[in-house]
Amino acid sequence: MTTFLQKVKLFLYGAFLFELETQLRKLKATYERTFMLLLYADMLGVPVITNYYSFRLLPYIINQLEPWRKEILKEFDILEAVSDIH
Amino acid sequence: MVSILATPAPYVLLGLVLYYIAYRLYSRWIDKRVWDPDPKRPTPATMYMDGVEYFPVNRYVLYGFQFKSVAALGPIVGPVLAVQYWGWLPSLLWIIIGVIFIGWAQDYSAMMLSVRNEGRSFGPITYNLVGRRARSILLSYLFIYFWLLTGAFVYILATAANGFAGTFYTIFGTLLGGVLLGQLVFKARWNIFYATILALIVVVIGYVIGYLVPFPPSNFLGTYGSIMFWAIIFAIILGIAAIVPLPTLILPFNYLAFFPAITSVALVILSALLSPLTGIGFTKSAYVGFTASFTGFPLWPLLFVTIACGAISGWHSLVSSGTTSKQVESEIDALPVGGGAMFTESIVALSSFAAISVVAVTALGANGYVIGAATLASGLFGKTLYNAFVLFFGAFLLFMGVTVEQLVIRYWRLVLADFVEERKGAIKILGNKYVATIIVLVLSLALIATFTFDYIWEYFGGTNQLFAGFALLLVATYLTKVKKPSWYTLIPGSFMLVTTISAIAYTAYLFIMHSFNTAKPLTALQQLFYTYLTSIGVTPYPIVATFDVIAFIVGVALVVLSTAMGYYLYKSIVAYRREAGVTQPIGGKTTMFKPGEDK
Repeated sequence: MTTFLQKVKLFLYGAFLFELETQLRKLKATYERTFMLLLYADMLGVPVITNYYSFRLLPYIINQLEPWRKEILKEFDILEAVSDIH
Repeated sequence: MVSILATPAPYVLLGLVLYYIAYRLYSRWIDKRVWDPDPKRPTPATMYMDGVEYFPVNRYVLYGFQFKSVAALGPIVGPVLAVQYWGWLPSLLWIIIGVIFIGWAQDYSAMMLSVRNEGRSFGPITYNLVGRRARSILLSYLFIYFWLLTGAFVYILATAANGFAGTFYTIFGTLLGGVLLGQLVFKARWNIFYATILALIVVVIGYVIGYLVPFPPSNFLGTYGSIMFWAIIFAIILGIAAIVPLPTLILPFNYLAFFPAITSVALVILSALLSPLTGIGFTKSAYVGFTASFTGFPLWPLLFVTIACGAISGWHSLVSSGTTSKQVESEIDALPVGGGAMFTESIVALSSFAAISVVAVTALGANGYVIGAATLASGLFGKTLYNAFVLFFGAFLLFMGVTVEQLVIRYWRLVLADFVEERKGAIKILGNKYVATIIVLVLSLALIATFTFDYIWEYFGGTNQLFAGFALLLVATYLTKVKKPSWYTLIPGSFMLVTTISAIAYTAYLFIMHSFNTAKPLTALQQLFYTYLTSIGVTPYPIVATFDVIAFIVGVALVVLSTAMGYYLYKSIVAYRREAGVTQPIGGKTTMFKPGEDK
């Protein structure tokens, strides 16, 4: 059960810091997507010569491959980004 | 001794009580009867969890975030202007009735609509439910909306910085504090607690300098010159903020600015509730008349667009359907987050109503809020603190404007870049971030330079409220499609659409009529523009007439776009009703309009 004080704390976190958290998550994801694009663009049908480092990094990145493919192939609509203004 | 009924306290209290009752009864009834949220049904946050956009978040965190997202300059400026135009009673009634029957319904329903549509936002949902053309209209609409918004908000920033000498240092200190915080947290990896303390010290230094050194004084270049000077300064600041990476300036600034912002709102509400003790009562008339003072605006339809945020704001539907809907943990959270945050935001509008209703001076524009808030707060904490409170609330006004505006300009350039992305030739230059930013700022400064703020605010409020009409009708379209009762959004949506189209059409009419007779300025405010032009040896007529015609064309464009959008929405509603068998076509074979397609 959440006490009143905890609720206030959560509200304040939402009001003060949650925007920072979500925007940083998005920024981090953008960098990661670009990084993976450099390494594994061939998986999206963009022909790049897979290099030695791609194979070396593959075991560390394998879990992120599917979400990355889904995200980067997703249709982008500029109207989706309006909600970031507040 | 002032009678209790002649102070803002009972009316603010009445608003709070009515909000509570409406939330507990009406909104819960709609929630249960129409949407019937199921805590077991997976939400987009749980279905598509990616840890970036989609991830479940506690309802209290989301409530705080949603409140911060929707509460900006709108709920403050709207009531301030409306109380000065028509008196405090119509403004108060619209704030309370508007939020109870329309405002919360829009925010909450837009969120539920998005939750039930994979967390998609307004654009894609419109495309799916109504069609391609409706989405294009929405995008064109945004261009005009952001231009008007920037023109209105930068003007408010400039008049506040000019009217309250020294406030600029508070925003400058906060900008520096924001940059410092960004560097400490993201580069030096400091703990945010210590970085916040250090940054807040810089903010406080800004306040102290502003208080001790009120330089340059108000109107140091004449009223017109000074306001334009500050408008250019803010345009430069906003331009830089819109170009640099988010963590460098905007994110830490928005975070820091929320400290004084939430304190300001709390202070005004507290002072308003205790106003019978301090003896500060109404100085404004309860009802001025159907025709507004200063501007001559008729109460209907213009009151309903002058007060947008606080009663209902179309902007909220974009936030509700874009960010929070992707993070709602359970469907039952949508009501406290979407609806609850709107009721809370309306309290900001009540604070603004309380502040302006005790100000004796008239025709102050948005600056009236600062004087009213300082009067209320200094009544409670000591008259000697009046000047300090003026600085404090002046800074609050600036913070609220800058926080939103820097993101608006940023988004405007993204829309422009998206618009020219697949085109060839010289037009591609518009996609450049520097060029796009300069264009919007120059266009906005041109808008400000004519000193027609009251009229621009009506256009801005009109476009904002039209979004609300679209959102409510879009929800009605969806509810009709899934065979649920849609009257609770269809009726308010239709009201908003008719009222706002009328408001924009009327304002456009005023502009074109003025172009035939430019000898007299539109308002007393525009007289400053006339005087300035005459002082530099320029005849006002051609410039003013050209602007009037441009403003008229913008108004006509808005009316045409919104009528077309309304047509597509009603057409879809009718089509879905037929499809659902609600109304059978009368006689013979009927060619069915297929929803989601344009003919």
